[in-house]
Parts: sequence; C-alpha cells; structure tokens
Amino acid sequence: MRSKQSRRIILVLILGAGIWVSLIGRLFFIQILHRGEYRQRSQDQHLCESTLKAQRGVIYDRDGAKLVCNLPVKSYYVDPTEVKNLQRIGANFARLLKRSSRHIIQSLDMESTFVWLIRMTEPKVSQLIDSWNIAGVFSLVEMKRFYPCRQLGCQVIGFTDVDNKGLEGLELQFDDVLRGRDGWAVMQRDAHGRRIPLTEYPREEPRDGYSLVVTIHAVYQTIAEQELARGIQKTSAKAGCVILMDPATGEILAMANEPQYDPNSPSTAHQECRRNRAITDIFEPGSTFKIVAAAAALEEGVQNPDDLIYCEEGSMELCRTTINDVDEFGWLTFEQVIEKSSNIGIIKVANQVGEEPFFDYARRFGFGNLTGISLPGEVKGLLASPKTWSRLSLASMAMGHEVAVTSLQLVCAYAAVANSGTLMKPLIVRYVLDTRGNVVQEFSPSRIRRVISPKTAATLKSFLVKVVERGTGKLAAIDGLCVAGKTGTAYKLREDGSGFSRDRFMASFCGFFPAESPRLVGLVVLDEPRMPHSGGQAATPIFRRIAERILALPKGPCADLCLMVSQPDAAEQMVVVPDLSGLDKPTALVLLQKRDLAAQPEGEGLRVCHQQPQAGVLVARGETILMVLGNLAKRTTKDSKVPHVIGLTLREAIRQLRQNGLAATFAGSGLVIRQTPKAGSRVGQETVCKLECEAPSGGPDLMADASSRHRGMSEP
Amino acid sequence: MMDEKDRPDRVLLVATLLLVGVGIVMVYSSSVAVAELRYQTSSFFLKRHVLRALLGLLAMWVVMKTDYHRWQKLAGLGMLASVFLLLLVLLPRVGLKGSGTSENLSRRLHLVFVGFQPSEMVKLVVVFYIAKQMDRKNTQIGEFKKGLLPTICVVGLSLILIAFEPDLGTALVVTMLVFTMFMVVGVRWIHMMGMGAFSAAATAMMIRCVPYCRRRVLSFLHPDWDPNGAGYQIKQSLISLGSGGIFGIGLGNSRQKLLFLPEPHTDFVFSILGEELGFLGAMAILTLFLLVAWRGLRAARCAPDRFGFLLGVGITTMIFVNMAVNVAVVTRMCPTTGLTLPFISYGGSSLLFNLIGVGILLNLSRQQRSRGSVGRKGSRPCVY
Repeated sequence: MRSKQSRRIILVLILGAGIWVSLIGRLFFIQILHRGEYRQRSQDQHLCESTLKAQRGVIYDRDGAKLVCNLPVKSYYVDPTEVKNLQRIGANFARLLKRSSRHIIQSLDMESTFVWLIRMTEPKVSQLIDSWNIAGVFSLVEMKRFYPCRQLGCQVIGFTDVDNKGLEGLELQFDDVLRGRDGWAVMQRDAHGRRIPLTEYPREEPRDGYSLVVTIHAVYQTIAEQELARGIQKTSAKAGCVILMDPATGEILAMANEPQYDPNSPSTAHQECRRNRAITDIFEPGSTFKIVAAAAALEEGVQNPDDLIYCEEGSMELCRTTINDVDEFGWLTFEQVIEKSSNIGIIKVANQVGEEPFFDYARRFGFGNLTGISLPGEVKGLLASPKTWSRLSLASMAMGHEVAVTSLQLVCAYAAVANSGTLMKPLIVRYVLDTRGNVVQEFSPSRIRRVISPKTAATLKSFLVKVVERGTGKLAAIDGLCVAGKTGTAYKLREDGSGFSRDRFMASFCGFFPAESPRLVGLVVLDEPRMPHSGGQAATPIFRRIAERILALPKGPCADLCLMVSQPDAAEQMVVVPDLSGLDKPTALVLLQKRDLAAQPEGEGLRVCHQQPQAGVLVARGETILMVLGNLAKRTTKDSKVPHVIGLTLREAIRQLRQNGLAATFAGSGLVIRQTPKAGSRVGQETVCKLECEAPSGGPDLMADASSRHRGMSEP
Repeated sequence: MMDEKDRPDRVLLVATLLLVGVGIVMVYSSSVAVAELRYQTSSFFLKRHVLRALLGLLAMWVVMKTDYHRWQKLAGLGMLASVFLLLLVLLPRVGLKGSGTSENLSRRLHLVFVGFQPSEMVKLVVVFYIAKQMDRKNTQIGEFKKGLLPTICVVGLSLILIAFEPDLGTALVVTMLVFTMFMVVGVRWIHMMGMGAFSAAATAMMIRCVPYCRRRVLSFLHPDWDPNGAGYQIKQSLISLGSGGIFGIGLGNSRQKLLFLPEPHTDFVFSILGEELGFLGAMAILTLFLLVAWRGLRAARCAPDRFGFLLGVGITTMIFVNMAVNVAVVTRMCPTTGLTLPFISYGGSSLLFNLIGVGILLNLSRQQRSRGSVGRKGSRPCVY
C-alpha cells in the first residue's frame, strides 16, 4: 500500500518535473533561440521614425512688420480602429465638410489607423469639434501659414499648400530658404498610435526656416492697393497694377495687382487673381515707350530739345497706313513732341535714330529681357530684332506698339532715367535672416548698366516734367513738388488677332518725383478702363493720389521729403514734432503735451539727447515720441526771426521756416499769400507759423518751381 | 495541540512571499499604461493588488495557525455552496462581465462590494471534498461504484457548471486535480484509464460542438486567423517574451505593455515578466514555483494522516497546474484558457485562494515534525 502510494507520488513528481522542464525548454526556444526575430517584430511595431517639423520662416516688410507668420492650429484625424460610432462622425462632420454623411464614412479607410478628417481648422471650429468629444477622432497641432494683412501684396508674397510648401510668389521662389530642414526622431508608439519620444535613441533636431526681409513697405503697399482698387472702380477697368520703386537702389517699395485674393484661403481664389501681373503679363505700352526713341535721339545727338519737328497736322500716311495724333499739331519742338505725346513727331525722331540704334536702346533699357527680380514667373516680353521687322515696325515701336513689355520692365526703364541713366536691378528681397535675426544673406542694390548719359537723363527728365506740368500728365501734378512722368494709352489687340480693338485700351502712367533728385518711381497700369480710358485721365490721378498719401506719411522711405499735403483734413490730423534736444524732462513733456503727443522717456539723465521721430517730422496726433535722456548741456532757447515767405512756393516756404527752427501749418495750395506771425517778428523756437496759399493764375507752377528744378538739373 | 516550536516550512513560506512580492512589482510595472488609459492613475491596479495581497497573507496566516482538520467538516458544505455560487454566476445580471477576454463571459460574482470569482474557490473546495471522500472511503477505493462514483458525480456536476460559464481553464485544473488525487490515493489503473478515455471524449465533444471552444482551438492552431482576438494576444505575448532575450530589457521598460498586449497585468503578466527580466527572470520564477511544488509535496508526504496527505497533494497540484497552464498559454503551447498565474497575476480571488492553499500546506508542514512517526492511521515517516 505504502509502496504503491510512494510509486504513484513519484510518478506525479516525474510528470510535474517533465512539465516544468518542457516549459523551460519552450522559454529557451522563444527567449534565446528566437530572440532576434521577436526583437525585430517588437521594434517594428513600437518604433517609428517621426519627422520633427521645422518651422517655416517668416516674411517681414522693410520695417519689420510681419507679412506672413505661422499659427498653431488643430487638425483632426480618425483612427478607424478606435471608432465606436461611425454614424456620429458622419453626422457631425457632414455639416462642417459640406459633404454627405455617407460619403464621409465611406472615405474612412478602415484598414489604416490614420485618416485625415479636417485640417487646419479655425479656433471656433476646433472648439466645436473638441466639444463633441467623439471616440476615435484625434487632434494634432500643425503650423498654419497665416497672412495677417490678408490680401496685402498677395501676388508678391504668394501662398503655400496645406503642407506648407510654397506654391506662388516669394513663398515659391524662396521655398528652400523658408522651409528649413525637418529633423527626425525615433519615437516609441503604443498600440493606439500615440507617440512617446525616446531620449536614448538618435535624433536630428530640425532647423527652422530662414526669414525674409523684403523691400516692400507695407504702408506704401496698402496705399497703392487701395488707390488702385479705387481707380479701377472709378474707371470700370478689368484689372490693374501699380509698382513703386526706389530708382537709386532698385528696391520695389510696393507691387500691387488688382484683382486680389486672400492667401489665407487660396483655394477659393480665381486663377486670374493669383498671378503677379506686374511681371507675368505683357502689354503694348503705347506712349510710355516713347522715352526709348527720345533717349536714343538725345544720346545720339540727332535731335536737340529745341529742334522743330513738323507733325503733319495730325495725320500722316506711312506704308498705306494712316497714323493719327490726338490733336492736329503743326510744328512742335522735340520737347513738345513728348509733352503732347505726338505719334507723328516721335516717328520722325525714331526715323532719324535708325532701326539698329533704336533696337539697341530698347535692349539697353531692359526691354525684351528678364529684369532678374527674385519672383517666379517673370516673362521677357516681346522685342523683335530688326532683321524681322517690317517697314512699319520702327514707326510702330516708337509709339510703343509691336513691342510687349511687363510693368516691371517699364518701371525699371523710367527708374533708369530718374537714376541719371543707370539701370538698376529690381530688388524685392533685401535680407535673409536666421531664427536669431542674424543676416545670412544680403541682396545689395546692383546696377545693370549705364543706359544713357547723365546729361541725356537730365534732359529727358525735363521733358517728363513738362509732360506733367503742361502736357498729357497734368493730373499727376502735386503742389510744391516737381513731378515727372509720361502717360500711355494703347489700343489692345483683338483677341482673335485681327488688328487693334477700337474700344479696349491699356492706360498707363509712369512717373517719378521729386524730379530734381527722384526718390520714388511709380507706374500705374489699367487694363481696359472704360470711362475715362486714356492714360492721362484714368491712370494719372491714381499716381497722384498714391504720391500724396505717401508724402503725408510721417514714416517710410520718403518721409524726409516731408511735404505738407494739400489735404486740409489730413493736415488737421498731423502735428509737427518739436525739437526736444537739450530740454529738461518736464519742459519736454509739457511741449509734447501741448501738441497732443505722448512721451516715452528712456534712460537716466537730465536732458533729452535724442528723440525719435526727429524734430520737424509730421506725425499723427497722439503718436508716442521716444526721448532718450542723457547729460547734455542745457539748450539756450533763443528767439527766431520769422523769415519772409510770401510769394514762395509752399515747399520753399516750409524749408525756409524750418531752417529758422519754425514749423508750419497751412491752408490752400499754390503760392504763399499770407503768413502769421509777420515776417521779421521774433518768436520762440518751435512756434507754428500759419501759411495761407492760393493757386496763382497762368503757368504759375512753372515759375514757382523754376528755381528748385534748375538746382536739380545742374547737379547730375 | 500544537507546540510553539512547530515552525512552518521556511522554504515554502519564503518562496511564496517572494512570488507575492514579485507579483506586486510586476502588476505595477505591467499595468501602468492600462491604468493610465482607463483610470488616469498609473497606480490604480497596484493599490488594489497590494490591498488584496495583504488580505491574502492575513488569510494565509490564519489558516496556517488553524489545524487543517477543522476544515474537514466544511468540505461537503463548501461543495454545496460552490455549486450554488456557480449556478448564481450563470444567472444574468448577477454575473459580472469577465474583464479577462474579449468573449462575453460571466465568471465573476458581484458580492456586496468586491467582484468575486467562484471558480477560484471551487478548485480549493474540490480538493477538500475529494480528500475528505477518499479519506472516508479508504477501503473502497478499489471499487468503482462505491468508492469513486459518488465523488465523480459531485465533482462532475461542478465541472459541468464550470464548463458552462465557460471557464475551460478551471475545468482543466479540476480534472487534473481529480486525476492526480485519484492516482496518488491508489485508484486502479483500469479505472483511471476509463476516466481518461471519458474525459478525452468529452473534451473532443466540447471542441467540436461548442463554438467558443472551437474558436479557441482554431486561433491556437492558426494565430493569424484572428489577429484582433485571441490569436493577436498570443502573438503579442510571444513578441514580449522573445524580445526579452536572456537578460530582459529591464524592469519597467516593457514596450508591449503599452497597450499592445491586452491584459498585461492579469493572464499575461508572465509575458511582461519575460520581456522585462528575460529568460533568467522567467526561469527564476518557474524555479520558485518548482520549489513551492517540491515543498508542498514534501509537506503532503509528511502529513500526519491520509486527509492531510491528499490535501497537500491536491493543493500543490492546483498551484502547479495553474502555473503550468498559464505559462503554456503565454508560450503558445496550448490554447488560451483564461487562467491566472498564481501569486503574481492581478486578481483578488485567485490570490486569496492560492494563499489559503499555501496556508494549509504550511499548517501541514507544522504538524509533521511534532507528530512525526506517532501519527494516527496511515501515517508515514518523512522520506526527505
């Protein structure tokens, strides 16, 4: 009995031991013999290489205002394996996505664990989605490209796709620079797909994209866009474009195109609105092109400004084609040919120049060639070589037909005239900055070539001043400032190619100011303006309004021109910044308070040693003036003698008053007819003198500005 | 009755305490991610497990101090209560949904405050019942009708109820208990073989006819057939164990517990243990179980009487078979059964009754020396 039990218990023991050994054997098999294979499978499902997104660079305007930035927004995706109620997802998102519930459910790939639902939602929408709290719907923070100024400069800046890849404009051109370099990291993943970064695995940190500082001035751009839109509305034009440029450096200060779109939702924009017409669209410029023939004639010495040209009483037969002028001109001087924009006159001038030289000058001005601006999609325009010309070609080209130019080429050519004959390469991007603001790359102004001599340029300038003073560009005239420019009105070609349309025009005006030392070149082009349709009537007023508004600005590249605007309402809003240097703090504060200006004192010290903005600058009421306090000798406030300014132009009067430490407000326009306080009286510094002006009768502007213009001419 | 110098088996006690300790650590390590996901606190399962472990150890201590003969009278009553509870579980509403598998199982009872799993209790009660019956029918063991059939009928009834839950793992353990105890008590081979043949036929029937069993077996044979069900679980379990290698990837470093392996803290805690502590750690745990089994059988052989002997063998078998089946499941040696790893898996009922079992073994070990060869009927000297 006992032995039987002992035997049986030993049997149980053996059985148990056998089981134990087999378990150990199995573990040995799995954990030691096959460990590599299982490790691999484990890694495959746990580890995933995850991209660490680099943040895209920002685009600043020339003053550092952000034109584009990045906004963290929520995107939503579905993990179908986690979904409990498909119908609910369908029903809730149907309204948001404007698609049927069934469609949404069908689009969910049940095999995968990641399906985008809606990307880059607005905060309101994401709050709504969060409040639903649907199982299986997860959110992810992505950086959305955000254009805070909305449509401002949209065709220049461009936009990106949903993955932040540049598609148009600067975003496309500088995509590599802006994008930066994505990094990667090995992430641990749980079965729900959630990721946990692992520190012990290798990773490559992302390098954020570089930022751009563009030459665009946001305020100028705004003004240009607003005035262009207004002008287009007024003239019922189809489209239009404005370019403002600094002639000395080639910097583009504004590049406006109408119609516009909102780059925050580019998908809704029509293709028509997206392209940067200023560089992608070519047109026959018409009379604005006449400067080529004029410049060639002057430079080659075949014509003098005072040479008389017979203009055939407004009609001329040439190769069985009748050329007409707008008026029946008889004998005109060369200067008047430009001034009155006589087609017949300029054809005769061009004939004297000859085919080859004319073509050569057109090429030298940059027509028929890329300007080399750093924007995508620029076209060359059309400028046929003389070999292919017909007998009528030279005549057509002299008037600005049979050539096709881009707006940018045209503005560059005028900038060359303004810049004493030197053609500059147009600049749109000034600096590339890294994330810390260090300059990585700088684009300096670069001259392309000398097109004409300074003397020729000066003569041409005087022609263009006449155009504005007496000729077709009268509407561009600005009080107290010498504006030069040229209008252009060209019949558009019929779309079917059967000659010119009778009622569709391209109206343009290209000008610059101040003529003596130009600071700003501007071009306005209107596509098919209806009423009025000519360059002089449709495009020129837009130029003037832009110029006036720019000149009224207290800041910006042209702020030192500091012209008192002839808009009384604007003048009311503006005050002159007093000179605070050397004043003690309380006095300075009182002085500022009197003029409705706020003060921001900085530094320790008794007296003001620096101020921003400078004294004499016009600023809006309520503006804050920064004053840096230091230890400076007390300024002796001495009285000033009010100079005699009656009879002077407003501009000259203000200059003289400022020389004596006086500021001025004014009413009216033209010449100063009254001044208070009286000339010769002694007043305290920073006294504001009131000037009354009146437009004199009979060619007064000419006289008034004669002195200043002459000075401008004699210092090329 | 008992002298104070009658010390319990230290080896058994230490091995058990070690296993419980490892269990606490492993339950915490493996449940972190699941607890975070479900309850937002990583220590959710740890707290409960520690509480239950303390409760279990208290029960063990009480049982250890109590003469095991006191329980003899309760065996029949316990059997009755077990059957009642098993019936109760089958009622809808009372049974809690088993959290262990994806199947809609009702294995747990909601008793007052805590979930309670009757099948864990049934195993221990069956041991007592068989030990008592065999002890009483000492002389009739050779006869099938008089000696074995009543016992087989009662146990068979509970087996059917268990299988109905369905809890195949417990059914398997109970069957193993019956066989082992019948074997050591000296049932004739012919009876043993008959019972074996009957069990095999019943098992085959179950697999053929019950869809649930069929699925289990199929997913065991073809793990890719049901990737999100049991087959997926087994695959993930193997990945866990395999990626552990010899030394493991370090305590707390398991990646499989990041929701890849379902229920990493209950039935599949051994996979996580194998992943974090490697082959050496897994072997250490299996060695501790071997130690428990060895000391348990030793206590049984030295038990003062036949009842104690059978009790010791039964309890040891219960613990060992439970462990073996669990490890076999996670290493894909047999189909998924839903058995826990004794002492280590999270789960109050399992921990409690296994510790009570160890308490009885410890009580046995205390009684063997003082009684030694002077025992009552059928006593044996200690062999080891």
